[in-house]
Amino acid sequence: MVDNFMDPEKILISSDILARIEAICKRHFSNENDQNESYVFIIDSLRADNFKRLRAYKGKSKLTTYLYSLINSLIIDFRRKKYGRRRIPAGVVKLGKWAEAVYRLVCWQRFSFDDAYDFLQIEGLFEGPYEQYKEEIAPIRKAPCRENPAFQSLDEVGSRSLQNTNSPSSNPLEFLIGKLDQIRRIKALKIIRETTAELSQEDQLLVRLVYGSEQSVKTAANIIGFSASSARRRLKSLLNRYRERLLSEGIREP
Amino acid sequence: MGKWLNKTLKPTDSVESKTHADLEDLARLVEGTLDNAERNRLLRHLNRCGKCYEILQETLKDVSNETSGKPAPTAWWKRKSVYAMAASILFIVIIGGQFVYKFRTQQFPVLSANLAIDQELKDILMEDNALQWKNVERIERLISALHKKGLQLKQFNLVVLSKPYYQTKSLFGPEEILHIRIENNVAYLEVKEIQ
Repeated sequence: MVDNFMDPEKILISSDILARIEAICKRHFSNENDQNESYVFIIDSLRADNFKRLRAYKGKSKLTTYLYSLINSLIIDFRRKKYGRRRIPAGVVKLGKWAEAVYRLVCWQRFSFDDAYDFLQIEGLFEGPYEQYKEEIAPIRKAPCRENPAFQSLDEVGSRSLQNTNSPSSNPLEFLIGKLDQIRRIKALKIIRETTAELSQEDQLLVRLVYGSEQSVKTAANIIGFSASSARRRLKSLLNRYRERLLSEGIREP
Repeated sequence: MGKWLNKTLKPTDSVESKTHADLEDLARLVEGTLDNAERNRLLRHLNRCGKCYEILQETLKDVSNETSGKPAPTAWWKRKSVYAMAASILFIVIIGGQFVYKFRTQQFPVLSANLAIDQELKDILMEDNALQWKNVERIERLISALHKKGLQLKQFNLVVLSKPYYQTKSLFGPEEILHIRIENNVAYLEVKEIQ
């Protein structure tokens, strides 16, 4: 792969680049049909308007990195075009915004009904108790969902455990959230969200990258312009801040 | 990826997300070549634009795959390392053939050790949640990481985890160690918490 100005047509006949595009499509989609469709979409988009998107490259970054950004941007466009037009069944829409949110979470994003209830609480979309929620989601359970064929027979509401011990963690905050019962988890997530919004732009992105997207500290530091050691110190300080806020609201690790 | 924090911390689209970041600027951000003013402007946008943040996430994954030597998945029979390893094994078998009978009747010694987990080991452990690894490259990276920590190991060709590893360092709590036991060319790994 040559990181210099290449003729756009040559870029698109390079087997190395085509293999990378294919790999990215496979990474985004498990369904072979979507992999193939997205691949074709990307190639067509790159060719469009006399390779306009490739000619937009100014040589200020490595060509490969630019191509990765471009290809991922196109994949997101493809996904939104294809699945953005998904319709929520009319029977669910009639129930209200909260029901649409549950449908999206459970059918499209494959959260459980229990998880969906927690997110509704955080977003303020459903204020009733859990028992009321269990009754009101009955019609949603019967709604068809092509993306998740198991949806119709999904029965996630049974003995509701107080601790979400099946929720694995990859960082201290996620680990803590996973150990809390449902009420404290909702509260903790709200506190984390509020605390994050109060941080500087750099700290917000640092937290998002490391604890939200689980990037390495070194990678996140490079993005934000810190040294890795400085980023680690900063994260330690930020974790203390989260810890103090959580403790002040009565949230501690069980 | 932690489902709770991933969803909770995702940037919510705002008015700012109507105009998106320049893709080459995003690329330069990934490479760390933006100046301070450009970077600060872009950071502010990324904290407010779901699409641009997602492009950044995905680009980081692809760049990371590239730098870890996996630019694109290739069929195993196309990899030179497979043939190099096959040739090495054949060489060892031929030269060491006279010792085969002797070794057949011996039990392989069992090696075990406890190690502090550093970021290199975590990165290898967290690549996926498979309980068994047969991927030659990944095993080689693990052996290399263990060598750096002073463990003199023979080659093993299978790794078995007691459970998938997720970075479980508690905000309030314990350290972790990696217990490794090598027996019959299989490495058994277990991450334990210590107080």
